[in-house]
Amino acid sequence: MKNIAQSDLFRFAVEQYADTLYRVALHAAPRPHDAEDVVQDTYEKLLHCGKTFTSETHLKAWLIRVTLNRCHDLCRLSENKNVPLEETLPAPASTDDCELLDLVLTLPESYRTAIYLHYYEGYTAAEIADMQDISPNTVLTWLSRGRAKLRELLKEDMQE
Amino acid sequence: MNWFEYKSQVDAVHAPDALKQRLLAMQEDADPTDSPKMRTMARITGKVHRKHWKHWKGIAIAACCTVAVLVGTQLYPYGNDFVNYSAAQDSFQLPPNTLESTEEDSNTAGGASQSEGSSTPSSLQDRQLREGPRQRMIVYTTYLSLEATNYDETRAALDSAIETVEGYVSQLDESTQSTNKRDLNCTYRVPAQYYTEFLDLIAESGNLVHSNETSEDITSQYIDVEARVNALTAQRDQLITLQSQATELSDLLAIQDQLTQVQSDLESWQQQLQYYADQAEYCTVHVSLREVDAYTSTDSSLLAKISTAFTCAVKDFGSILLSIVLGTVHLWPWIVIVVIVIIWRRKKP
Repeated sequence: MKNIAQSDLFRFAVEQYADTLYRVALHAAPRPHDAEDVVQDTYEKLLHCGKTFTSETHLKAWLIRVTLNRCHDLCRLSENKNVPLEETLPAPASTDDCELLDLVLTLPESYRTAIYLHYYEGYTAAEIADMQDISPNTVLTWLSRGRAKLRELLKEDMQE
Repeated sequence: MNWFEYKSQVDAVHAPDALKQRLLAMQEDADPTDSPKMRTMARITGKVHRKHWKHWKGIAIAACCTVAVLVGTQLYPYGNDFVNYSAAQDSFQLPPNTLESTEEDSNTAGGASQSEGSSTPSSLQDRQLREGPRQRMIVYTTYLSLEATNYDETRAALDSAIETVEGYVSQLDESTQSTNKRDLNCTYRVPAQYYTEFLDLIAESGNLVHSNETSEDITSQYIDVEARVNALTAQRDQLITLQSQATELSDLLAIQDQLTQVQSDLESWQQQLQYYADQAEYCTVHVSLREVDAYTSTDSSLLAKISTAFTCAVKDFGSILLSIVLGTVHLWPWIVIVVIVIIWRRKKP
């Protein structure tokens, strides 16, 4: 990372982590069409911060943290915060068979973010807690409740 | 839960290509000089400069005040003298008519009023004695405040002094303060002929910080009461003579009633006369003795005052700390109860 110039760093971050940040934003943003705006805001911040990163892991963690903070800001500013859950369902992904992903995306924002960062990105509860400035116990609670909710949804889906 | 399925589904989600192109285009359009970091650095620099100025502004104001105090002290040296003069006046106050009546009597009586110009301060009695013998009834009352570093020694000196002048203690109040310092408030009755000697002995026993001496001329009152007593005595003697000469019962009863009344009035005025005589025969000296660690400084220089203020501040700080410790110790049962309640509430599920 030390040998990469600032301009190359930005291109490297876009090529390497744009998809990751888009997936994070898809899980954490209040609405699906906010994901692109969040990703764009994150890279704009990277462009102007002038920060130096010690490793790719450091860069990735920083980008994910900024993305999550921006999603939290949007959630607070969202006028549809008190709207029932059904109206905030994100649009399904482009692939045909995406039932589990759709179910995950129906969970509350905190649960689906924790599930994505843990089961897809492979972060531990402590790392996720550090990203969001919360306690690891809170992350574990979200994961537990998210799994329980998914089981219920899957049972309902199977019964149907 | 089949997380592999979830992962494969997420793998299929990609950021739109249009988004990636926009992001790469952002880099080409970005101005390296205009960044939040550069603006933040400017704000921090400005804050540092303002912080430095605020720091030095306080020091500059303090320095100006110190210089003003020093210059003011040098330009107005008589300010301290004025304060001392006023304090001296307050500590030695006379009834407004005392000196004037004394001077008038010296002129009318024809007594010598030339002062020998003694170098040592003296009591009112000394000055009046130097001016010549008089048949006057003067009541002297003095208030003295003393400091003593060795309380027991000064206390013993006071007792010895009163015994020396053959006086007696009229009132005594001795107490110990919370700072373990003792106070003594005592009223002595001293024979008038040993009044000055007793004051000198008192001044030698400790550090005299306050003196207030008053005198009251009761000669006219005494003469008036004495005249009344003489008149009532003569009246009583006449009534006794009439009583011995009376023959009628009614006259005897009337004379007896009047005699009883006269006798009662006579006794009352005689008591008053005796009181005046006692007041003039014995002077009253009120002494207030306070135990201290160091005597009050009489040096009026700025350095001495600063030194005194610093010392007092240290003492006060120590006193406050001691008070806090003693207060905490005094409340130990309540502290134990509170601690037990807190521990019980924490252990409570």
